[in-house]
Amino acid sequence: MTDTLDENSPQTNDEQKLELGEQKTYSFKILDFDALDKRKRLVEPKKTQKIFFTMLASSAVFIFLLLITFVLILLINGSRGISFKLIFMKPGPEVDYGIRPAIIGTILLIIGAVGLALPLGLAAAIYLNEYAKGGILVNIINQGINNLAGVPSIVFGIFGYAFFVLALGIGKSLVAAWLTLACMILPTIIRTSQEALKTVPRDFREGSLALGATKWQTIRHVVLPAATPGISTGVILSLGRAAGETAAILFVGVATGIPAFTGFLSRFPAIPFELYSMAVSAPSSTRNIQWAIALILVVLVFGFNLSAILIRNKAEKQRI
Amino acid sequence: MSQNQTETIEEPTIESLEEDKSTSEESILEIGKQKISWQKIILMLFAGISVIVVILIFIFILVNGLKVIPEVGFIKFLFGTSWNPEADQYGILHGIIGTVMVVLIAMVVAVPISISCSIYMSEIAPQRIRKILKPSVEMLASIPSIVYGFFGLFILVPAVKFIFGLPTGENALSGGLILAIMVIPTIVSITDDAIRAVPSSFREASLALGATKWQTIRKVVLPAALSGITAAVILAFGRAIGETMAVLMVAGGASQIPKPFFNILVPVDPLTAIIARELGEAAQGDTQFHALFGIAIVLFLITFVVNLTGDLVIKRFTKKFKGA
Repeated sequence: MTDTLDENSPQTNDEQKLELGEQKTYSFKILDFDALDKRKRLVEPKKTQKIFFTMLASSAVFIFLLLITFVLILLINGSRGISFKLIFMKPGPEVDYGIRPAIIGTILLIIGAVGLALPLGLAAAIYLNEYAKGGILVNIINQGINNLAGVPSIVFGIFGYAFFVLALGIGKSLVAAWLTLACMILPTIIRTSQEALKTVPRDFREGSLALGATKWQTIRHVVLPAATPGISTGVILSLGRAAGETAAILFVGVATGIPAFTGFLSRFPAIPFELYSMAVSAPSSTRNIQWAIALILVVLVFGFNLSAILIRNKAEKQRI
Repeated sequence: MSQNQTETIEEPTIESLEEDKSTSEESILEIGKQKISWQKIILMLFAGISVIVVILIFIFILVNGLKVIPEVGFIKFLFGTSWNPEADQYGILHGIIGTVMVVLIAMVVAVPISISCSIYMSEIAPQRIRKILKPSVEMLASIPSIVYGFFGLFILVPAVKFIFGLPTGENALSGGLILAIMVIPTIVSITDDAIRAVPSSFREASLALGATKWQTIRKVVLPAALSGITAAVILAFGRAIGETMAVLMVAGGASQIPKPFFNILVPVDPLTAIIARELGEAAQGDTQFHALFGIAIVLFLITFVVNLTGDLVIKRFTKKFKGA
């Protein structure tokens, strides 16, 4: 302790001098750095490093364990309630709980929503990236799309309810849910497609144009094929997001206890809403069934994400 | 790969000769001229529709929500202490306090853990550990909020109830903790990007001066990545504010201001939860309906400002290292 104090006192003087006369700079600074370090050095730097690295590593371990615990709880609880009947049957005289309608409902929902958003979003991305010449307007549009991507899903839900359901008079229906979800994932699709288009090297375009292809032919046969992995990653992630979305479809037509498909203009079931309504209102004796539904939903969403990661990895390998 | 490409290029060239012989000469000059083709018009139309959707959402929420000002009053709406649709009282102060509370708890818990994790992941961990950690974080990000809400309701809420000996575990603390888990992936992945964007020459220079790895991280890498890390926190903040299902299920949903206002062990009612719970009951065109849209405006504006700030910070950050 006395050691550190001894080293300390001359150092503070040096610091003061440094503050007073700034012309003595460089050699002082190196000395300053060294002594400053020693002063704080109650423990060796290597030891400090060890302590901090352990702390950092433990927070990484914590997050990893969080995921593992999450998955384990889900698997253990979910496997108790899961059954062939639950997944593949609809509720009827023999089966108390079957989520076949909800699974079909979710599949219909995400295919419709992405089917609507993809052509629009992709076209917008191509236009903004390949045709538009920059400028203030394009910047504003890009910024607007960017911000829309951060808008909470409940805001899309309330918009969909007021606009599609009430103002346009579509009513609470599958179509209204398609439109609402399409609005929600549109910014994501535009953004990811733009990113994908940006990664296509300029040489590709120039090479094609130099061969005499028109701009559209270049886009259609050169740029788009090269950007396809990136675009499909974005689309798959959007599918996953739409599949798990609850807040946005809460008011635009989702319902429980109905057959999967009774027409485009009638209400529909979906897995996340099934889980929500059971969690808040069903008796606790059905808790295992609820865990099983949560498990099915997570497996579905993980499936989408896993395939997106695989596509991305494959594309990255090809590029190298 | 290369064979495929030559094939695809050849095909259109023949097509173009057949299709528009008259313009084939000009097409070389395409880049400069930007001739208007029907494809461009269609793309423009679609891009236009996308933009209209953006504007429509904004206008529609604004038109419906602004009606709350003449009906309730601006100050009474934002700072009114009582929300009671039956008595025609629409003050959302309790919602604002609820949102602020859960989001603050979430950030206090999530920010240190996430930043430490991403420092470890990007600077210290060996490649093979990074290869496990990064997808794990992405997996955590992909879990739907309803599932987090479900976990919160049946795992976290009982735990909080037991630990603090409360009559109910549905409170601001539970909401904040579940939100913390949800924003961890956002902070980790953006911070990771920011740290990896710091040029390796910075690290090499510091190490060459004799600094240890930790000193390099602490005094060189982190200060350089600071604005990127700030952006990560800001964007996570925006995400936490907009989260609905989890806080709806876990935070309790009591339309009252906690007493004292920093008591985190009482039920709260974040703004998003108010909309989710009450929109089904509100009749079109009445004050409650407009008040819920008013809340949507508040959410829209907050996330708008938060995301804009985050984007600007990130843009400045990437500009900083473009030259390096």
